[in-house]
Amino acid sequence: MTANLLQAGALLPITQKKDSAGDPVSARVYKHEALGGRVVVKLVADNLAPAEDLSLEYLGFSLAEVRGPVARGRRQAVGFPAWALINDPKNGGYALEVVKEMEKIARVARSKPGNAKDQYEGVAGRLAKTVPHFLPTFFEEAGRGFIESGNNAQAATMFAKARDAERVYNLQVDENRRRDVFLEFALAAAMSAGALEDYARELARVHPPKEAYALFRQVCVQRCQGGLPPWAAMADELRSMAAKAGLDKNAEDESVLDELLDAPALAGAAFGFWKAYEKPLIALAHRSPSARGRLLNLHPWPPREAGSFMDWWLKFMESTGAAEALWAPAGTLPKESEPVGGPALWLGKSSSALNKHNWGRGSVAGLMTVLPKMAARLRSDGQPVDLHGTHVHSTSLDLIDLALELRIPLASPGPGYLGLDTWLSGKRSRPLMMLAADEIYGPRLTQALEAYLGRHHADTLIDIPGLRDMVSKWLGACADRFDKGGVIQLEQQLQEVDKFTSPRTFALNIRARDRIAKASAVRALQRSLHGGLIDELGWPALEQARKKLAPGQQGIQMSESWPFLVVTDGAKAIVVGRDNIVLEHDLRLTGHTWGLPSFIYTGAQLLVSWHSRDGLKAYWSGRPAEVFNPQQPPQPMFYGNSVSASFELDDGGRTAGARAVHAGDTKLPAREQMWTARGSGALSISSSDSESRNTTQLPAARSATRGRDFWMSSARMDTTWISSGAGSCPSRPMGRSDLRVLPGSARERSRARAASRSKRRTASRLPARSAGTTSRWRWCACPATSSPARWDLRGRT
Amino acid sequence: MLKSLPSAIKDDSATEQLRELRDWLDRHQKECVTTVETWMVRSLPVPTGVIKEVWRDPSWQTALRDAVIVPLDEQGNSQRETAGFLRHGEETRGLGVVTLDGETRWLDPPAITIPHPVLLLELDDFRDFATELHIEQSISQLYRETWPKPAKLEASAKSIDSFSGGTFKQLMHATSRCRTLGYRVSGGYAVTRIWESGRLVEGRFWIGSDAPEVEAETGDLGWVESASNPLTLGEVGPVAFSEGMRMAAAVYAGRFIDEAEAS
Repeated sequence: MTANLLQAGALLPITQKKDSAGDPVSARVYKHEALGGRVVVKLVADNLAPAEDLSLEYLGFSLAEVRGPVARGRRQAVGFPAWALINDPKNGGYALEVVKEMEKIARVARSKPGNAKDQYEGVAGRLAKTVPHFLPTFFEEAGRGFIESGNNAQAATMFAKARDAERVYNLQVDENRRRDVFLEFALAAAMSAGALEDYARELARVHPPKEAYALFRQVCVQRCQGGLPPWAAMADELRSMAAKAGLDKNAEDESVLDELLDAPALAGAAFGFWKAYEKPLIALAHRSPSARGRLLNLHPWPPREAGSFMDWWLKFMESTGAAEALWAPAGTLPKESEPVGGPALWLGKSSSALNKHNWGRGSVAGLMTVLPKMAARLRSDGQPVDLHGTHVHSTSLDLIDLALELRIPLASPGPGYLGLDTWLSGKRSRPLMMLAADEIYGPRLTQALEAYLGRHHADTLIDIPGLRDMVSKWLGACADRFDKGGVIQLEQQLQEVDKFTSPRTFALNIRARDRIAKASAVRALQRSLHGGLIDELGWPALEQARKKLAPGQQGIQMSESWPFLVVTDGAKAIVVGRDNIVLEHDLRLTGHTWGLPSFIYTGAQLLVSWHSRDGLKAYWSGRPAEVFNPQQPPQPMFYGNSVSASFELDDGGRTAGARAVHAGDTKLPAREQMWTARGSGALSISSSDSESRNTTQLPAARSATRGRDFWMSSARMDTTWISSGAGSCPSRPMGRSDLRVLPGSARERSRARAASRSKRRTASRLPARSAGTTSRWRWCACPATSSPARWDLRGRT
Repeated sequence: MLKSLPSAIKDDSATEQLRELRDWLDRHQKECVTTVETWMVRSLPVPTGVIKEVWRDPSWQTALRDAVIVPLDEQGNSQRETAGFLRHGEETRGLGVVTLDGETRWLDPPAITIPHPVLLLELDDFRDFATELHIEQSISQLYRETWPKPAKLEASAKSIDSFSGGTFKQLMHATSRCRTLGYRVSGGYAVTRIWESGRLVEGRFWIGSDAPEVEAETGDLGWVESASNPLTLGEVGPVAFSEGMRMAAAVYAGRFIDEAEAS
């Protein structure tokens, strides 16, 4: 008990005479000229006291009094000079001589590592002449200093020097101490690649084979249990030592593996490790259900491994018998051999590991072979499989298609495009008919296809049965745009058709071809003129604001705070409302600024935010002297491929989908696109919860857009700002309601509020987040198909 | 008053020495707090003589003052009725303690322990009392986050995965977080060592062992005995359990959260 207590670092009372384990510890009282009456007390083992005194002397302390011994403590002999003082007290003086110097070097180790190394070597040179057996602990101590300052490479050098000293001076080595130091440096990642092999050789040189093997085996196992993956040649090294020791190779292999299988670090083992141990692992797994379970649940991924590892691993899982648990009916196999969380989770983990490591370019052949065998079990479990993880784009379309054909329950994919381009450029094996016909994946495939067709020729797709129909529909939509668009779109569409289609493409949809052939520039121009040109649309308040600005080189920047627009030239910010200017604010940007500031107007206050050399800064117009870092910049007017939009809530806060910002807030929520509209005006909310992915149609948005086609007729405005929430606005000169968004009327504003309230209601109807997870419902944005509008106000004076 | 030190003084070796002294005193202060916390987390008995001797050093005083202590008798049994806040230590009178009844007592037991909050039966009473007295502890004892073992814990399991899957853009973000929190990193684990019911148990939370600049993902939290032997959750004691969970939760809280993940 007392020995255990000491090991844990306890101080034992000195009175227990009968048991005298541990070294006496005294309270040493130090004084310092500069500190007056204040003393410093250190609890120090008596045999290490001289070293402590010297270290403190270096700082100008002097020993005033020694009280005690007050307790007994653990004998600490790991470092330097402690090891020297305890193991060779007669020569301890030599160690103490360099203590002050070491203190000094340790101080420069961080800033001048090369310098420190030279100085350490200088000290070592002196020690070598008289007390070479102090060198290993000395260098290790120096190494610890480097580990402390984060310089592992130098620490590894010091470690190597310690081992060199043992060899060069043929020192007697305490193997337990050396093993501990080995593990200490290995686990601190401060060891060079060859050090382990050197260690094996050194052990073999000094010890009989059996002992050498036992020592090395222990280091290998503990190193892995401590969190470092086994290296490729470990098996060879261990086996050759075991052979020399005359041990049974198979039995040794299995006993090593049995100990290693619990270590999570095994998941990062080199491919060579698995190949070397393939046979003994199969033997072990056949005997032990728990070994099968541990292998199955390991989900390993060797570093720098090409895409074929998964195929090898799955075959290996079948030959060990571990894979059995993936398709055997539930409850028929020993529990410890089962996949944790069920086969569905196992499949999800395997698939997302493949996605994660290979960016969709790895071979899915293995999984495609396993999938049919697992299908019955997965169907009867009914637990949805998440094939994607966070990597929707990297998931193999073949795998999804096969899973759909096998009617395996699948979790809906999270946001992101399906990896159509990756699939097209890889080894594809399926026609994607199932994918195209699926009610969740079908639209996602269409989405990916549309994105693809904006960049690539359509003929690459028409030979794939599952995509043919979609290409045909896409052609139909093209034709629609010819029929409905204005003159600018006509030009755009012609270019697109010219670039990405051929007569072969149009063979899929002859009607579309005929409609396009009949498209008339005159009618398109007519539509544009009827709809109105953007220059015809006035916003007197905005023009009035423009007159007050004097843009310099950076021009004018706009920030949205619907229904207000905030314009600035860098000196002044003007908040423009529907009918008049709401606020004029002379900017008070302090210090250096980058670019023009951006704004949020809410609760009748203006948040001014700008980038400076020291990061993001902001203040509220009500308290311009209080400058703070808002963490996030306000959403710019045009963000990525969409126009941002926000609402003011009834309580004066403003939300763009995330937490509302109130006047006076010093922390803005992360940027979040709430929604943007595309073609049909369909919006969806999706959850970013990794466990359940649901895509929900947003009723409020559907009713707001009334299923209208939101394509706009002017190239300069072709990103629709649907967040007006007021799809029922009366028709405007442009034939659509879209521009209406900017200066909204009070009625529209109240409608928008209603929409945002119903948005909140919708959100509250969504499944409650499960406890402990960090899931968050978010408004998923689908990028509009064209680039955002850029207004050039400079040209409009 | 001068706005800054004249450079003649700033660069003088005496000034440099004073600066070093100040840094060292800061480290010494932290060391005292760490030592006392180790005594607490590991529930180690501390001889009263030790407390009395170190009390003259203000750094030790700061670390020890207002820690809740439980005196131990000759046999090492807890004297719970005289447990209280440590207010003073001196050679002649012993330790000055304010008990839950609000009485100040002078005690001179052979040793004391500073119990871990999980083991402190009257934790709520001590917390209330501390609030009343405006007591602020240097060590994190009364207001330490504790994780009681849930009743429906799977006793045969060897790990907990509640904190797995947290990503760090670079492994070094995770390791430096561990260091800031005071946890050692060994191999691919953040580790915390607990001394409980006669054995040394190590809580290990997987943070990854790839190159420091590579993305890392947290894994399971487990406990091992004698450096490598995994324990089942049933075998893990309440303090080791609580401290392991505290570590994992604290490291996990620093994970990267992709705020703009949606698109």
